[in-house]
Amino acid sequence: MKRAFKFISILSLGFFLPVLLFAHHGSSAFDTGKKLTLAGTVTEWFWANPHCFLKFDVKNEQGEVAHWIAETSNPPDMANLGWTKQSFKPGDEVTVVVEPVKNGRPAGRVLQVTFPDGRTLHATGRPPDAPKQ
Amino acid sequence: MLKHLVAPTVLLAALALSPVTRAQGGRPAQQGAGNNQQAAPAAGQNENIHLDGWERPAQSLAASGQKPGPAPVHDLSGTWEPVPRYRDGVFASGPRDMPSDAKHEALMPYTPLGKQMMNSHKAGFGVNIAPISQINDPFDHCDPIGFPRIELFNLRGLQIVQTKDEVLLLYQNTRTWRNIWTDGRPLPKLDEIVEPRWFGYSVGKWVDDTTLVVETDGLNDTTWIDNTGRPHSDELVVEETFHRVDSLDFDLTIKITDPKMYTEPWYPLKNFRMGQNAPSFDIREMICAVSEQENFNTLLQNVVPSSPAK
Repeated sequence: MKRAFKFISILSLGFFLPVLLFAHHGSSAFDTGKKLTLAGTVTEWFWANPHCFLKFDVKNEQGEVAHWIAETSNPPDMANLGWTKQSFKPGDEVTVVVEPVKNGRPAGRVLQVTFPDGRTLHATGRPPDAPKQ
Repeated sequence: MLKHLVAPTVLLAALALSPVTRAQGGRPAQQGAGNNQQAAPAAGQNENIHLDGWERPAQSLAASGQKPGPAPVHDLSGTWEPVPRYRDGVFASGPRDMPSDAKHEALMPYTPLGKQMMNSHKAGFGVNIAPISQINDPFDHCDPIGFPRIELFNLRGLQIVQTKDEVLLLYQNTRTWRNIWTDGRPLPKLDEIVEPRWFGYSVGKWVDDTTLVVETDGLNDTTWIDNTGRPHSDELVVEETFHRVDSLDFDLTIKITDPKMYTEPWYPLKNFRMGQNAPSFDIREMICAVSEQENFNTLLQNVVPSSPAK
C-alpha cells in the first residue's frame, strides 16, 4: 500500500503544479512541487489566523512515530473550500497529502486530506459538487 | 495487489478532478501585469463555492445575473469584493501592477535610501524572500497592517458606508477601518502632523459624479507598503482614485509618492475592479490575533529554523 501511494505521489508530481493559497509568511521553507502522502492520526486541529494547522502522528514500519504539523490557508479561505473548525477531532484516521519543508523535518503544507470513507478535503481546491464536510 | 491500488487510484482521481486541473468559467480575468491575474482561475479557488460570514452562499451581484446599470452619483456605498474572483486581491508577491519580481523590481524608482531600506526588509515573498527565521516583516507579529498595505496585500471584503461628512472603509482583512473626510477639510501639512498614524489622515473629494479622489498622509513609517517590503518614509502621500464604473462595480487606482524613497510616483494598482455583493452579505472575520500568530510562528520556526531561501 505504501509503495502504491509513493508511486502515485511521484506520478502526480508531473501533472499537478498547484498555486497554493498561503500568503502570509514566507514560502522559502517549502519544497515547492514535492508531495508526500502520509497515513496518520489527527492529534490537533487549529482553526486560527493567519493559518490553520493540522497536527497528526505518522507511524513507520518500525513502529516509530513522527509528529507531523502541516499548515493550511486562513479560515476565510478554508471555509470557502468546505473546511470548518469541526473538520477534525483527535483520533481521526486520515491520509494527508503535504508539500513538505526542505529540511526533512515532519512539517509542510496540506494539499488535501482524505478520510477512511473516501471523503476528501482539498486545501487547494475541490470539485464544485463536493459536499461540505 | 489489486486492492492495494484502489486507494491510490481514488487519490489520483480526486486530484484529477480537482479545480487545480479543471478549466473554469466565469467572467474574464482582470487586466493587469501582475502575479495574481492570470487568465485561468488561481488554483484552490473554487468559484462555485463562496460563503459569507454567516456560512450563507454568496456571490457578486454580477455573478448572480444582475445586469449593470448607470453608475450612481457620488455613491460608493455597499459591500465589495474583488471580481471576478474574491481572492484576486491577495497580492502575496506584490501588488498586481508592480509585483516584486526581477522585471518589475528593475522598474521601481528607488532613491539610494529607498534601495537601502528595501534591501533591509526581509520578506516572505518577492525579491527579498528570506528564510522564515530571518523575516522582519512587522505584520508577522500582528503589528497593524497599516495603509496602504491594507489595500496592497489581501484586499478582500470591503464595506463602504457614506455619511454627510465622510466615507468609511470597513476592511475584512484585520477587521479594521479608515475614515475618509469629505467635509472639505484640507490634507494636513506634513510638517504640522504631530502624530503619524498607522492608517494616516485621509481627505476625499468628488472630482466628478462618479470619481472620488482620496489623499492620505501622516503615515507611520514602520509599516511596509506591500507584502514584499517596499518601504516608505514619513513623507509618503497616497492617492486613491475610486471610480464608479456602473451600478455593480468600481475601479481602484493607487499612486505612491514619497520623495525620500522614490524618485517619482509609481502605481501599484491601476483600475483594479471591485464588484458589489448583495446587501445581505456578511463579511467573514479575518483577524491577526497575537496569540495565534505567536503560536504559528513558534510552531513553524521549531520545524524550519534555518532553511535556506531559494
